[in-house]
Amino acid sequence: MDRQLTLPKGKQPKNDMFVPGIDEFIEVKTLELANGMTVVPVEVAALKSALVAGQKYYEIGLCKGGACNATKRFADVWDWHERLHEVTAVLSQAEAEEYERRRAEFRGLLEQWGVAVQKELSVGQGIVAQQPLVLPFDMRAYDPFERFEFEREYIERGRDTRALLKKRFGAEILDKPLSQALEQMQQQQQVQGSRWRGGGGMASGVLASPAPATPTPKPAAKPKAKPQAKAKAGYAGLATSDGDPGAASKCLLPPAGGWGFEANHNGPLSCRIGEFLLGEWQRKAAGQKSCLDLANAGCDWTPQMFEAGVLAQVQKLDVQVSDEAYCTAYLDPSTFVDPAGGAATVTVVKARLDPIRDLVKEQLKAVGEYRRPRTPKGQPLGKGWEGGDFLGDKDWFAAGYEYDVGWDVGPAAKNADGLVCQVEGSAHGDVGFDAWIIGGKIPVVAGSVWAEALPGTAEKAGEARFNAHLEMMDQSLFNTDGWKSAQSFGPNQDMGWSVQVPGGIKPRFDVYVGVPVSGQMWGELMFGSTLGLTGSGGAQGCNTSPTFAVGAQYMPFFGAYGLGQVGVGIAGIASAGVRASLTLVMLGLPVDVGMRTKLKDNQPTFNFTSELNLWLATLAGRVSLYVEFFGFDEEFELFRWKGFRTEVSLMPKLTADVSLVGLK
Amino acid sequence: MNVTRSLVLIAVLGAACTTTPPIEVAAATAVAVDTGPLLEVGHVHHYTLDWHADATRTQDRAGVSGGLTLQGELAVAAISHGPDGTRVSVWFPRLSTRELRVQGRPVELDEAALVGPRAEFLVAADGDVRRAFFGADSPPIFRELMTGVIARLDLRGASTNTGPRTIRGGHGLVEATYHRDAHGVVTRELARVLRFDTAPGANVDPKALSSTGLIELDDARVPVRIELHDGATLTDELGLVADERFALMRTHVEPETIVALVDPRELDPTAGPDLAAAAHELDRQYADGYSVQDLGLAMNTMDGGVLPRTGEISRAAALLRAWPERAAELVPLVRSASDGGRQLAFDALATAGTAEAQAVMCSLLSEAVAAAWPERVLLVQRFAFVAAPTVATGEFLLERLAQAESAGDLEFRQATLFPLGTVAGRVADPWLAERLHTVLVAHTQHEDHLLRAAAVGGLGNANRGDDLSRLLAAVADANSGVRVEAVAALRTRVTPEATSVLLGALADEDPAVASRALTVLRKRHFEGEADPALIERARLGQYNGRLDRAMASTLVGSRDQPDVRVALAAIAERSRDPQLAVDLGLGLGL
Repeated sequence: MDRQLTLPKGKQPKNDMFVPGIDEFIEVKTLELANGMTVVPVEVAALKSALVAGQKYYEIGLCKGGACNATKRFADVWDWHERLHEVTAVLSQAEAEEYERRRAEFRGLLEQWGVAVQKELSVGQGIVAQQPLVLPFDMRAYDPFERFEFEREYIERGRDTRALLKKRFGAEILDKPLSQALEQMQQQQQVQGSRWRGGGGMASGVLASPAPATPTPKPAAKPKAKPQAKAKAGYAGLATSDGDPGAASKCLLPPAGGWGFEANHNGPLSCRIGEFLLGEWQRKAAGQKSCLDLANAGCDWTPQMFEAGVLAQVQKLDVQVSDEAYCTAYLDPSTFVDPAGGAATVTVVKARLDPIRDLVKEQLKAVGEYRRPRTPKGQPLGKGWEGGDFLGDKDWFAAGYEYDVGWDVGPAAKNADGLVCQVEGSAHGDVGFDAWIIGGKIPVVAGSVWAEALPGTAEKAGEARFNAHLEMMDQSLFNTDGWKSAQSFGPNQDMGWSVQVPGGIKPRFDVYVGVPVSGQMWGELMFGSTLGLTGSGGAQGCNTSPTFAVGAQYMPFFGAYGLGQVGVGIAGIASAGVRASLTLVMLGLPVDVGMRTKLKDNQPTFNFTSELNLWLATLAGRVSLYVEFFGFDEEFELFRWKGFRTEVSLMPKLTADVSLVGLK
Repeated sequence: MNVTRSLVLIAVLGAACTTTPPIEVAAATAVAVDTGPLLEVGHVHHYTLDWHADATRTQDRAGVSGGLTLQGELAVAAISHGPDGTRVSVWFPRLSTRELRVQGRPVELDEAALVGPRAEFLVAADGDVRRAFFGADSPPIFRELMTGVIARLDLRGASTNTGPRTIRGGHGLVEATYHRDAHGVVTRELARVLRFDTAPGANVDPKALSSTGLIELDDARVPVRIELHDGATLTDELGLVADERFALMRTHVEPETIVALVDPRELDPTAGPDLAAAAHELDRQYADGYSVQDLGLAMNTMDGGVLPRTGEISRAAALLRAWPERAAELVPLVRSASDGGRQLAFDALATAGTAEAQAVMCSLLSEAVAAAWPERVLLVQRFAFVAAPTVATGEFLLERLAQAESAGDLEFRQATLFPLGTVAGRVADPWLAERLHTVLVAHTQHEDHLLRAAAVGGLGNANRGDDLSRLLAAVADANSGVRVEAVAALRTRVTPEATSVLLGALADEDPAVASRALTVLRKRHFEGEADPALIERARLGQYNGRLDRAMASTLVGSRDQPDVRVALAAIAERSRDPQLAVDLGLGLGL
């Protein structure tokens, strides 16, 4: 009953870049002049003030009637959506996408910073924890208010980390170069006997490694170009320049003394965030449209925010209806009475409804929808789900996915008294998808797991058998726990009309007009899975307390994306790339099936702890190619899909105990 | 000195037929050649240049289009004469129009890149040009375009009626014939296409192409006008439409002494487009702005459990392909990363696939500290993603396998056998491939079923035709894990024999085997069609009982066929899943 439709309220940031605490990344340094006067850089100070002012910019649901002005203070989130829709309706598609590109870049930097801070926190705590695999947060959450929460968490994490490090190691630790600080922390923690795993997590990736001797060299020098304006054609005031295109980022090389803690805003990511914010502020100073301009609402809203925040929650209405029906069915006069010293919260109410449900329904009815036709052996239970779809255009990008999951359990034998003495069962998950790129089919991923517990017989004990099979890019691989993979893939080599360049470089389709003009389209795969298969078969003979267990945790995640570029394969002429990616399919199928026999109140009982969900997003975005030449860049769209995302509960979490008496 | 332009070709064979005294070889300014042009050192021939090229190549909705327009002036001057021929300098004194078009969008080429640099070429006695020279610092675009101009500056017009000549023209490398008419105008005609550059990789019939060329020469056999027109309309075969017009018209000749290039680079003007170099340049463009530090940050983020954003791995791979030496910079980052970061680094190295990247993968896995990495069995899998494994990679995997055997590391042996098969199938060295294959075959007989299964999986990856009998035998292995890998390996062996064995495997007592067999049949052997043998098995229930739903899914797309409907009805009646029965009933309208 915690799955209800929620509407945000409160004081909210103006947009992603105004997350509370983001001003901490900007340091206003006073400059002392030779004559003893101190000077504050005005623009930097103005940026910091703006960042503070924008953090609680929109008030939603805090006013009523005339107190609401529908510009910054709204009666509810619907009014907020309506108002910002009006304000942003005049934006062109390209302007909206440019704003989104900047917001996405900022979110990406903040998330990387948050992950780096998490690592520093783990180091400070002296434990190295395995992190579960997740998508970037802005690919998990499209509701802006959800995203604000993620961003707040990252900022809070930074503050908590600073506090912890100060407390444990002294305030001066934060000002030390990271390499020295880590050494001190390790020494201190080894003395204190922390659970420190040597060698594995001490030096935190790029945080501790020496910087490259020189930054990545720029490509071969372009011929001298005539100086031309960099403003993007057609978008007056919304220049896409990120400052001087020729200057390298100051954050590529560490400062004298080395990088410090990200949590203290002294790391390379903190530097990049600060650089990003300053660059965005400079747009405002130059009279261009900026996301940090408090007077510009263009960067604060997109129609996708409304879709994610409202339309995507429509399915929760179904859940809410179901919860409401459940509540109605089992409430009695005491259901909503406040307990002593508290209020009748959802938790309290549910705790009262559950036993009543149990009283009303027999144990077996709790698993009623999984009952299968009885056999001579007894009452089997189980269910299977399968599905799949094909979407897209095989001549461009297309994807087909399929899944087949299920479980079953049932009596395998009874004793002379008719009591169940052997149990058998299985669980499986099978997922896969194929992709098409310009007519070429690529079998991208196929993964399956099976766990089966076989009953014992009079002659021998039963066994549990497991199988986990995995194929990627049509190669059979070792399937085990912990896969985290990101690969690129292209159409198959015998497409017929592509240029075959040896060495595995992406197939191209070329024309030659004095120079080669080449087009490439390819895909990217993200794959991760958690895998755990456990089980035990029945003991030999017939036992009134039979042994049985099947556990299958298989949480594959697949994401496939389409990319493309067009270019002239001569140095110094033109570059081109993909402006926005196309999501072919993102599929997550967390399978968590646990079934076992146990004794409960001295009675042999069958215990379920199982849940199956399907998370799917597909074909969102557009494929557009942009071509960048001296002085301007142009973008042209190839194809656009609306796409959709959904989360489906295939099997709601089932936690139940069923007496084996009920299965006989 | 004015050279009189004449439309009548002066016969050059048999100097005795004319009253013109023979040309002295020792003369410092000119030498007699049988059929080539007489270019006097110290004189510059100026031409107006007008070059247009357009080509579009589409396949349904995907396509690429390009175009070029160069208009201005071309200058040609002899520098010296020698035993190899006449050394000629060529440059663009002026280009009023210099435009590329990509996907219909125009881009102006930088004038400084084209106007100013010079090139040189050697004209042989018969007018052939086989060698060209460019300054070491000349811009790549100048080299590319001037090579094209040199190819089209046809100096062979004087040698007519002598059989086909191999030249590079608008279509690519072709054989052409030359014919002189009564007015002395030389016509060039296409005889055969040796290499079609307009759409690299395609073979075309010359009859599908149009190609005309007109050449007018002066008394010294120097072209005064060249007009070439090449066109192609191959929409059915290649989706290609191309058109090129090249014209040179001499305006004047003036005295000027040209200095030869110092220490130039030599290029073959008849060579086709360097596809590998173009691919390399495209990688550089795509990786522009992405650094090793960015990859390091992505690795760090992956350590935190967050997947990289779209485009990240592609740019990382492009960086490592464009600058292969940078792969070594990943070594310290990998050493200091954790599980997720190391996996991402290996992904980037594998998808880049350069020799340097593979060497880094091998060296990292060879380090003593790698033995403690819990994900090392996953890291070695990344060799299965390397498109062109090197000999060193193959040797490395053999060595690792042997070491794991000595150390009793069953899991690592198992994990190595899968990519060993991939490398056996892709490595260019046939002797190494045979050695890798022999190791896999040996492991298919191992007493440990885990190793047998991995070896069978490796054989499937190797995709060799001569392994079919081994894979078919493995389908009958006593262990179900081996049988799963065997039926999976038959995914690329679409033969009647393999199909028959897979149909039999549908009834395997292990549902994992039966399920995989059904998937391979559906997706690879029958490609979604409802095969009669499959339908019959479905109708009779000759498959593992746990596959009711999967079998129904396989056939439901063909439910319009009467025999499929019968089979689906049989499944509905037989199934222990009441929901399936309901679903099928609804779907069949029962």
